[in-house]
Amino acid sequence: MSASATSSATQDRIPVTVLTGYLGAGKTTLLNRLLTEQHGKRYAVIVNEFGQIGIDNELVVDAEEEVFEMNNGCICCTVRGDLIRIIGNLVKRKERFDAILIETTGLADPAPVAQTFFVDADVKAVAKLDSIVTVVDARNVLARLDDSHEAAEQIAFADVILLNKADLVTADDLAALESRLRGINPTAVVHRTERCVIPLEEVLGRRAFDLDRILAIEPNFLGEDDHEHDDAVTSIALHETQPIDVNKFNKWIGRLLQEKGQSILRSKGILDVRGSPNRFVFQAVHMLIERDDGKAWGLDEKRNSKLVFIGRDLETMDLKAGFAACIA
Amino acid sequence: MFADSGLLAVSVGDGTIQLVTPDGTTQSVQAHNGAVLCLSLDVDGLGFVSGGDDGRMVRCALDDTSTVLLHAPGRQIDVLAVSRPAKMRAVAIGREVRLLDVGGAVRSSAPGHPSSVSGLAFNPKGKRLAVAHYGGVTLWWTATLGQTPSRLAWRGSHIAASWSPDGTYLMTAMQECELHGWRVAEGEDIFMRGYTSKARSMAWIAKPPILVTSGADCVIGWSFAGSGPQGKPPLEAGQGIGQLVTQVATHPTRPLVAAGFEDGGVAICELMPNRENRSVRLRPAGGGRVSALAWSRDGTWLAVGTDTGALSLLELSDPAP
Repeated sequence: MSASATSSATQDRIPVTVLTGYLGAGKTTLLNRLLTEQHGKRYAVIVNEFGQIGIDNELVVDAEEEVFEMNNGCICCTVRGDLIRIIGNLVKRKERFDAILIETTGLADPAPVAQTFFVDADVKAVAKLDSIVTVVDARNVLARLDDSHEAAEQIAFADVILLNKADLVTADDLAALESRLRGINPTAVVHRTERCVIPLEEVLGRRAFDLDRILAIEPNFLGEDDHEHDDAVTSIALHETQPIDVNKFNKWIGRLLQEKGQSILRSKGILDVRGSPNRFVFQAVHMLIERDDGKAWGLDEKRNSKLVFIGRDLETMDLKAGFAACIA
Repeated sequence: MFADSGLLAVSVGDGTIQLVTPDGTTQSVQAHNGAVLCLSLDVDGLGFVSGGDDGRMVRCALDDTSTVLLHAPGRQIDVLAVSRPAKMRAVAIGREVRLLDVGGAVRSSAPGHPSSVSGLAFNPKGKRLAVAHYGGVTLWWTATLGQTPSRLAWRGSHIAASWSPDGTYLMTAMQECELHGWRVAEGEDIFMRGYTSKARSMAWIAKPPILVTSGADCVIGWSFAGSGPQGKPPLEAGQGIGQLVTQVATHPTRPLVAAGFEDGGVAICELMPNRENRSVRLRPAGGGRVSALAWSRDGTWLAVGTDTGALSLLELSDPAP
């Protein structure tokens, strides 16, 4: 009987950045910039149009966007079957890489990509979703919002939005655009860019899906008169200064997402829970929810609760009343 | 993976295949540029075929240069199957399946499966090929692959396929941590639920037919004797180790199962109906989870590979525990 030596210890989970955006918005430009910048990092790239776009990287994998329904009792739970396989295969490589970049096609719904990282145990064990970056073309995003629901979904799911080709529209138009994007998604960081020129750290390593980073939410509480567009996808931000009963909240949010999770694209919050020294943080993608204890409240800190929903038909859900009923 | 001669092939994440002879000498073959994703004994029982994330399918053998059988740039070759009776190799490239003969020529191909192919399995006689994908399994006759398939449909993603040794049943592992299957002649469905993880590793004890799987915190065996396993509790072995089983491999001649665990441990378990089954731990925990297990043809050696690249060779001259 013999046995040979073992090698290195368990590795950290690999961060994954998802690039979405409508055709021609500049995703490939951004991807190429990320890959060619002198940063000394190694990225694996999963793309859908291999061979059609010039990407200079040895670790490019061609994927078909295969959206699979999960039979787990959750009606809107879809995952990307191809990603489960490809990520499982990528981590078999001996030499490790620093991050995975996934480029989706212009028409892709970001939900299945995000849900893959919530649902699949094998993927969760080796990789974690870092952020969703959406590139929009400042010149025609308005038209896209009017003629397609994917454009709104990609903005709704974004943690970072690049308002690209910003040099091709006027300052007034840009401001109006930004306000409209914020109406859909008040928690994303918006950058105005030309040819996707942006420091890499604004796009990679954001840890936007880490529960402890949900703390960074500073939703832009819109004044009433800002609601001048009727986008199908909108957002509602709720604020509460009285402490929350965690049991009531869990029951409410669980049921809300179970019933309305198809319409609620993303939700997240930081709560001041009565009796707890720590912040209570949660986030959800459709019906899939994650929650945990966050950082402790400081002694002199003003405790309060913030909650953001992004989705369709939110105004019909009595969110404000539902949340108010969770006050301890 | 052992050859008839006792030669062991080990696939490694650096793209090499390590060929270890029974006397312990090792030859390293640089088969792939990237990770080796799948490995199978080739049709002659002497060499091995492998697939890699460099899009290549390669044959290698001792004192033989490695031969590239296929190259699909940008693709990952992670599913292949070999039938020794049919002298055929099957390989998946995305949604397409190709059949290659001994000489490496493409005999036939079937593009356009409903999704990327995630499992391939020849039936024991090599006359049929099962192709697992999203939504079920496509069944081809090897002789007419690419012409008229039959479909075994079941909602969900099927990630691995395995035939019973008598060719009566075809079983698949599913994305949802369950097994599905069909009595192929009648198309009758079977399913088994309750796994904690994907039951990707499947192996068979021939008599009575027992399907042995990974995916739970003990070895799970489903007896196909009589009316089959539907609605009956499974056989269990290796309970009490308290670790998830990640790999199973059945002994070539005895009703014994080698089980590899998430912590790197390995146990040999008896698996017989209607009795208490004993188990013996062979390899202690360490070196990452067990990702490969293989018995030599005569059942005297067990090879164990783990996630971090540790290889253990265990000699079992008297396999009775």
